[in-house]
Amino acid sequence: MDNRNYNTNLFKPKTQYARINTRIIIISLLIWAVAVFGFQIALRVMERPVPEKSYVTFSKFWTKIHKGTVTNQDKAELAKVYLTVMGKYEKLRSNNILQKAFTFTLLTIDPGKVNSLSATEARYMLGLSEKSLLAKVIPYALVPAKDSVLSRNEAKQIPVLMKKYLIHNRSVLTDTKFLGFPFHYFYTSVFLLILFVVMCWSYCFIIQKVNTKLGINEDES
Amino acid sequence: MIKRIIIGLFCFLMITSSIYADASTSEALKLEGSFKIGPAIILILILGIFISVGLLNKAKDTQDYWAAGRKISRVGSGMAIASNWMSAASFLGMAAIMYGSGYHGLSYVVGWTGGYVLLLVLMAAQIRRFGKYTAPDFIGDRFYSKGLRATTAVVAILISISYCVGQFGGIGLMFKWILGIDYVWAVIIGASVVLGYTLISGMLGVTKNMQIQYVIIIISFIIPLYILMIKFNYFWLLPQIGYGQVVSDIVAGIAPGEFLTSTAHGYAILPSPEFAMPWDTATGKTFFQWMATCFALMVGTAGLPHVIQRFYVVPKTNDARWSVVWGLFFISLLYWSAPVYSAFGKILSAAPEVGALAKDAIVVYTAQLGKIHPLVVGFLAAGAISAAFSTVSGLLVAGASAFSHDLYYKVINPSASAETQMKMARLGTVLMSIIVASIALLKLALIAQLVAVAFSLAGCTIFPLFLLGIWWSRANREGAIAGLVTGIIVSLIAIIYFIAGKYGVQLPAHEAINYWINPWYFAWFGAPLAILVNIVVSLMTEDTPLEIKKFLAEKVHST
Repeated sequence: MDNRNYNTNLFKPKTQYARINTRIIIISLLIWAVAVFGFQIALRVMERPVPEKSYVTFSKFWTKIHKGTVTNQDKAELAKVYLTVMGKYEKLRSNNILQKAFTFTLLTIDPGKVNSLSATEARYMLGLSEKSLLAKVIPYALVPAKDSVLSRNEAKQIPVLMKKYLIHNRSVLTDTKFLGFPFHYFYTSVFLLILFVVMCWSYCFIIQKVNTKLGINEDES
Repeated sequence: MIKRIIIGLFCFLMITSSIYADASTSEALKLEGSFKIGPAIILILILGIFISVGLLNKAKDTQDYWAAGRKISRVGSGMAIASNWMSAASFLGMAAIMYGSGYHGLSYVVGWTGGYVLLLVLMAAQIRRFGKYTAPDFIGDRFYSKGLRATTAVVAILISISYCVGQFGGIGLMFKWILGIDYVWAVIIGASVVLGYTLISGMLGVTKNMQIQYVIIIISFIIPLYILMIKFNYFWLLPQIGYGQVVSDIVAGIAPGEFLTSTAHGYAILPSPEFAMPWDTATGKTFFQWMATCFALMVGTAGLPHVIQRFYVVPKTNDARWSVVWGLFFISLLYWSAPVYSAFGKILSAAPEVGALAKDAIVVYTAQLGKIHPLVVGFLAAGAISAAFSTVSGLLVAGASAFSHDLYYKVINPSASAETQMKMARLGTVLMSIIVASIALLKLALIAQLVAVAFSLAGCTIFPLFLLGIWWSRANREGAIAGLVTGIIVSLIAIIYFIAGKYGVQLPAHEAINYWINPWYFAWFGAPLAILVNIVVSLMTEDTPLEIKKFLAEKVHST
C-alpha cells in the first residue's frame, strides 16, 4: 500500500468516523477556549479602575494637606483610611510607611500627645467604638512619636500604596450579582467546571452514539 | 468494602466525639503546636485502613504493579483518577492560593479541571488503543528511539519528584499540626509511612486504596463546609453555591455582629474587594499571569505521566473516555468546594490579633477558627493527608515504573526477569522518596506553586510529544528530539532562574525571565514552542517509518 495512505493528520481525516470525530474535537476545543480565555479577555476589556470610598476620601484630604487647608477632622478621616489599608493584609500592619503616616497624622491633630499617645487615646481621637475592626488595627499602626517622621521619599510612597490597595478592576461583569456571587466569580469558580463536566459527558455520549451508528467496536478493530 | 469502611469510620467518630467533647473548647483555641489526640487517632485509623487494603490487594507481578491487571471499572477508575489527582495541592494548596491571591487562585481551579477536556478529546482513547504501560513506553515506540524513551523516563521521574515535593510539604504540615512535632520530623515520618505503604501494595493496592481515599477525602472536605454555612447563617443546602454571599460580603465588608470565632473575635471584615476582583493590584498578580497559569496547568494536565498512565488500567477504550468524565466530576466536587474555605478563611482570620497564618494550612485553620469540633477538624486534616498520600503513591509508582521498566528493563538490561524488575521498581521508589523528602524540607514555595512546576515541566516536554505523536504521523524521531530538547531548555531556564533567585543570585534579565517564564507557568511559552520546533524539524527530515504510520492508522486511529 502507498505510504501516504497511512498518513494520520487531525485536520485531514480520511474515514467517516474520523471526520465526525475531528468536527467534534474542533467544536469542543473552540467552546473550551472561548469559554475559558474569551471570558477573561472580555473581563479585561470591560474593566475600569474603580476606587473604594476610602480612596476618594484619601485623595480629597491628601490634596488639602498639600494646599495647607486640612482640618483636624480631615486628618482623622485620613488616619482612618490608613487603618483601612492596614486592616486588609497582615503584612500591611507591619508596613513602616503606613505606621509612620498614621502616627504622624494623629500627632498633628494633638501635638500634646507626643509622649503619651496610646491605642485607646487614638481610638477616642478617631471616634471609633471598641468593637470596630478599625480600632483593632490601631495597636499595630502606632509607632513611637520619635520614629513617626516620614522622609520625602516615604511620603511619596503613600499615594502609591493607596492606589495599589484601594483601586480595583471592576465592570458590569463584576458588579452584577448572580446567586449571591459577583457574576465573574460565579462564572469562573462554578460555571466553568460545570461546563467542563458537561462537555466531557457530551463528547463521550456522542462518540458512543457515533460508534453504534457506524457499527464500530473500537477495541476489536 | 468502601461502605463498611465508611460505616466503621462514622461509628468511630461518634464514639470518640462523645469522649472528646470536654476537651474541645481548649483544643480549638490552639491553632498549632500541641499534640492533638483525637486527630492523631483518626489519622492512625485511616492509615491502618490504607495499609490493610494495600496488603489485601498486594501486587503479584509486574502487570499488576504497573497497570493493576486492567481490571478497574469506569467509575472505579474515575474515583482513582480523582483521588490520584486530588493531592495536597487541591486539598490545601488551592484554598491557600485563593486566600492569598484572590481571583488569581481561580486560574488554578480552572487550569486543573479544564485540562481534562484536552486530555479527553485529544488523548484518552488513543493512548488506551496504543496499548503501552507508561508514557516513556509510548514515546519510545512511537518515535522509534531508545534515547527518547530513556530521556522521557528521566523527565517523568523529574516530574514525579517535582509533584511529590509539594505533597510531602503538605504531609509535613498536617503531621506537624496533628502531632505537634517539628516540620522536619513530620516530613520524615510522613515520607516513611507513604513509602512503606507504596512498597507493600504497588498499583493494584494503590488503585483500590484510591477509591477509599476518594471517599474519605471528599467527605472530610465537605462536612466542615456545611457546619460553617449553618453556623454563620448562609444558604447551607449547597455550600458550593451558598458561599457566593460570603464572597459578596467580603467585597462589601462585614461589621462586627453576634457571631464569634474560636479566638473570641467577631465575625467581621473590612471591605476587601481585592479578594474577588480580577487581577487586583493588591494581590500583585496580573492578567497575563492569570492566563499563563491557567493555560500552563491545562497543557500540563494533559501531559502528566501519572495521569496518562491511568488510561492503561481501564479494560476498554470507551472506558478510558468515561473514566475521564467520572474522574472530572469527582474532582470538581472538591474544586467547587475549595474556594469556600478561602472565603471563610479570609473573614475568620481578618481580626488583627489572629496574626499571620501559614497559607497552606488555611483549610484546617478555617475550620478551627470557625469553632468546628476538633474531631471534625482532625478528620479534615486526615483527609488532607489522604489526598497527599493517594497522589504520592501514584506518583511513586509512575516514577518507579519509569526507572525500572523504561530505563532499566528497556534500555539497560532487556533480559531482566520480572523479579529483578520488581526489585528495581522498589529501589526506584525508595530513591525517589529520599530525594523528594530532602527537597520538601527546603520549603521552597507554596504547595500549589511547587506542584505547578511539575505541570509546566510536563506541558513543555511530554504533552507536545503525545499531541503530535497521536495526531500527526509526520512527526518523526528528529522532530521529537528537537521538540523535547526545546522543552527541556525552557524548563531549565525557568527553574534555574527561580532557584538562583531563591538563594539571592541575580542572573541576567532575571526580572523579565521570572515574570514571563516563571516556574509556575513557563509552559505557556515552552509548550507551543516545543510543538513548533517539533513540526519544523520533522518537516525538514526524513518521514516517519511506514510500520509506525501503519500502526497509528490501523491500531490507534483504526475507526
